[in-house]
Amino acid sequence: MRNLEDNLRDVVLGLADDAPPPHDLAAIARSRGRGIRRRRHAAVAVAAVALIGVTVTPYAVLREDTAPPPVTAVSPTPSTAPSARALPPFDARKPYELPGGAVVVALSSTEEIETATGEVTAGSTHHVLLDRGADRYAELPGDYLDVTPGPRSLVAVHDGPDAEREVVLVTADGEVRRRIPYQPVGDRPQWSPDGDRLLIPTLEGFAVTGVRASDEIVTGPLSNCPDYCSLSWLPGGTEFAVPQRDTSVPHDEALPDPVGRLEVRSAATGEVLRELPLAGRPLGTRGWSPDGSRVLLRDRTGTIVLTEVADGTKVAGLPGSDALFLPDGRILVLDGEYVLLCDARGTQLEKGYLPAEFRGLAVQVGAP
Amino acid sequence: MKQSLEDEFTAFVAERGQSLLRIAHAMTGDRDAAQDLVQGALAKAYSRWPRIHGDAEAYVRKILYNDRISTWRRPGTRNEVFVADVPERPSAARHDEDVAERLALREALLSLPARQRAVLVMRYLEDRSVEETAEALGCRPGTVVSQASRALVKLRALVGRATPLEASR
Repeated sequence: MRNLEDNLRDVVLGLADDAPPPHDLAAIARSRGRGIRRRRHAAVAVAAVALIGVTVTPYAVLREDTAPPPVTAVSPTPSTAPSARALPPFDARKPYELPGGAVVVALSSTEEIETATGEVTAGSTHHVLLDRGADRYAELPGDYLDVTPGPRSLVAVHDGPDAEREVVLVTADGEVRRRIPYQPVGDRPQWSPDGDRLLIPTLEGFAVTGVRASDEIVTGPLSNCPDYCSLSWLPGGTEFAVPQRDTSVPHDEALPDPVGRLEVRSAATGEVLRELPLAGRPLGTRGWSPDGSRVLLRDRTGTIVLTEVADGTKVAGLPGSDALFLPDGRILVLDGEYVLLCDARGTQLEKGYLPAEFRGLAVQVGAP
Repeated sequence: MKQSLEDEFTAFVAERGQSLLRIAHAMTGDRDAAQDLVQGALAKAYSRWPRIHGDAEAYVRKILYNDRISTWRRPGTRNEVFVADVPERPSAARHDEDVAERLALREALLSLPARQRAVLVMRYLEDRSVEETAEALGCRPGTVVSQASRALVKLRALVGRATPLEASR
C-alpha cells in the first residue's frame, strides 16, 4: 500500500481537478466589486464626517464661547461601588485626560462593508491621533490598517495591503521616517518604555530596532509562541516576554492556544534569560506594573487577570476589554463605554463614562 | 477605473481564474462554494485593483485562504464538519486498498477544520513552503507545521492508519 501522503496528494489534486470551469468570473467580480466600492465610498463619507465631528466640533463649540457641559454624577455611589461620573466632552485642542492621568492617544474607526452576498468585511480605517509634540489631535494622513502611537511623536503603522511586508514609522502629519522590512504577526508592535525602540513579532520570531534608519535590527527565532503571538517589553526596556504555548492542554481549533509560561529574553541578543510561571498573554508592554512585580494577563477566555509575576498567583480578575498600568502603579481598565480606575490590587476606585463622541471608535490610551 | 486597468483585470481573471477555482474546490469540495469563494476574492481584488494590481495573484490567493478560514478566527465557532461514520478501513488487494483509501481520504479531508485543510491544500496542491504557507495564512511557520501534523494524524486515524488515541493528541 502506498504512503498515505502520496494518496493524500492524489486526493487534493483530484479535488482540484473536479473544480468547475470558470464562467463569467470577471463580469460577476466586476459587478460585486463595484458594489463593494460604492459601499466603501459611502462608508468613507460617513466615517469622515464622524471624525471631522470629533476633531472640529469642539472648536466650533469653543468659538461660540460655549463652555463644555459640567461634569455630572451619573448615578448614586453605593458604598461598595466606585464613584461614577460622566467624563467631559472631547476637545481636540488638548490631550484628553482620563481618571488617573492617562490620556487618549488614538481614536480609530474601521469601515464595515457589506458585499452583495451579505458578507460584512472590513474596509479602510481612519485614525485621529494625539500629536505629542503639539498636544492636540489630528487625523493621520494615509490609509493605514493599524496604528501604534509611540511616546515620542512617532507612530508605528501597518499599511493596508502592504501590512504583510513591513512596519512603517510615520510622524503625526504622515511623513514616513522609516520602513522596517518585517511583517508584524499576531499582536501590534510594542514601543519600549523609553520610546526609543520597537519590538515586532515577526514570522520568523522577533525584531528589535530603533527609530533611525541607520539603527541595527536585532532579529531572532522564537519557538512555541501561541497562535496569537504577543510580545511585550518588561519595565526597564532591556528584556521582553514571549508567551509559551501549554502543550499539555489538548488543542482546540475554536480557542486561542493556551499559554503555560512566559520566556524572558534579552532585547540585545534575543537570548532566553529565565522563565516566569504565568499562564496568560500580557496585555502588551502597558500590562506590566512599573516595578515589574505584577502583570495584567489575558487568559484563554479573554478575561483580564491581575497576576503576581513571581509565582503566578491571581490577584484579581478585572472587567473590561483592555487595561494598563499607570506610572504610579494604579490600573486603568477600558471598556466600550467607560473606564475604571483601580488600585494596585485591582480594587475599583473610580468609574468614568466616556463621552458620546467615542462611541463606535477604537480608543487607545497611553501614559500622561 | 482606467480602461488599461480594466483590461488588465480581465486578462488576470482569464489567465488565473481556473487555477483559483482549483484551489477553492480543493478547500471546499463543493462547486458552488468554490465559485462563490473565488468570485468574492476577485470582487475584493477588483474593488482595490489600482492599488493591488502589481501583486494581484498573491493578494487574491491570500483572500481566498483567509476568507475560507475566517470563521475559525471567530471565538466560539467551529467550522469542522463531523462525519457521521468513520470510513471503513479498506481491506481488499493493494491497488483496491489505495483506491479505497483515497475515497476515504477525500471524505476525511473535507471533515478537517478549515485551517488544517487550507494548510494541506497549500502544501500538497501548490507545493508551497512552510514559510510561504505561513505568510499566506497570517500565522507563524511553527503553526503551519503543527496544523499539518495534526491534520495528518487525524487523517491517519480516519482512514484507519492510526488509533483514535493518536488522533486526539
